[in-house]
Amino acid sequence: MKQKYHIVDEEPKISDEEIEAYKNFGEVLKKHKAGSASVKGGNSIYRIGGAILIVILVSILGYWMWNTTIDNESISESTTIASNEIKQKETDPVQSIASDKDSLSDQSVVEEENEQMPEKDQELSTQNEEKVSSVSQSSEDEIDEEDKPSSNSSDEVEYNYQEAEPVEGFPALYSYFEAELTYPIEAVQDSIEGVVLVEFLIDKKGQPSQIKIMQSLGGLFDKESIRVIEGMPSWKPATINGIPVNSKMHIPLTFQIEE
Amino acid sequence: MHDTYDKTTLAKEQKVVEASKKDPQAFGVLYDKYFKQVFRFIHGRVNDKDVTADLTSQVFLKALTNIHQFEYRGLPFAAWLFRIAVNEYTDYFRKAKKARFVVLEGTAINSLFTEMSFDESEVEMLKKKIPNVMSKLKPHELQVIELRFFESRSFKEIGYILDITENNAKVKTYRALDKLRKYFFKGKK
Repeated sequence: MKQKYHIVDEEPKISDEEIEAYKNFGEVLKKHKAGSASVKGGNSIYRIGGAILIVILVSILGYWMWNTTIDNESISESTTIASNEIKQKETDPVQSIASDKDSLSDQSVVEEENEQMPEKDQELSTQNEEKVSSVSQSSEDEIDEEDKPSSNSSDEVEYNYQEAEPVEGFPALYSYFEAELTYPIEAVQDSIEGVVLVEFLIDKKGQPSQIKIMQSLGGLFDKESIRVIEGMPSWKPATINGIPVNSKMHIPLTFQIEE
Repeated sequence: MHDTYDKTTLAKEQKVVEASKKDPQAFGVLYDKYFKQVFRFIHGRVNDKDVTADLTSQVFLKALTNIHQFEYRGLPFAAWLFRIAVNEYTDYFRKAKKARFVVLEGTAINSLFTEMSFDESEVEMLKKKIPNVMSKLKPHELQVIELRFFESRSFKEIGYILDITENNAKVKTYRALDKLRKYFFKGKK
């Protein structure tokens, strides 16, 4: 899509005071807090909505299956009765004539047929039982589905991750770096300046380990960075619900030539 | 120029960023420091105070929300704010379908013409054609020309703002310049 431009020969005027008047950090903070809250809320709403939808779908499916089994049952029963009637008429014309005359004999035929078909009935009834049990199983599933999201949300509430931090706080750590980190004298003539990015693990005891250089500035600088990280003040390990866990940290160390 | 960055200031900023990750309140320092710069950056393109205020607020909100993703690359934190700002106003122009403002001050034009090495006798005549020629550029081409010649930013910073490499920023800038030169040349004939 082509964009239209207004070419102007001087910047639109606005004074510093006017810009100052638009400043509102409080609002940004408020939105930030509200934003993170609404995201959580939104998730739980989606979960509950999803669970309700699943329950409705499962019950509709269950109801439909139950209805179709009853219909099949009645249809199959009536068709077997009808077909047997015809067979009876074909095989025993005398009895059929008698049955035309006497409706009671019809009943006896039906009874007889029913006696002839106990196996089929049994099959049907077992099928029915199976279907009923499958419906009840699905209703159990419904309950499970309903339970799952609530247990998830309760997990979410209970889950409390606390990041690792230096025992004396970050400002103290940074002042330690400032005091300890020394520029390797051998590198002065090349006037190398820059940042070494160090990755390390704070273990459950709060000790740094697995120190890796993610962004190198040369061997001398990397060595100095590792030395400083190894000797830094102790840390409070990261915790999940109060239980200490290992956590990875990244710290950029800036090397510059002091003038 | 934006090329020289005080390293102590950068280190201090980095500390504030780290602190903001733990406590959003600490972000206030960066908000106070860069509010005006970001506001003017957006206002120059949008030319509407209220819209600019909304977009600026959105930029800082997004910066705070995504502060964990911020990577220190030897540039002031402002570069990251400008990157978010570019995305915000691009999105705004696309949705609002409004015309984007381009500020072409005298010094900006001179720096552009010096780069294109036009003959001095032609400059006055060519200056009149600028609005027409500029409007033929695509948004991303205008973007690099604007950042490089009108705002005198380094390629490193342009690359960071547009989320491309420094080399790619150079390539894009010189391609856009070639295109401009071609349009000026066409105009002359």
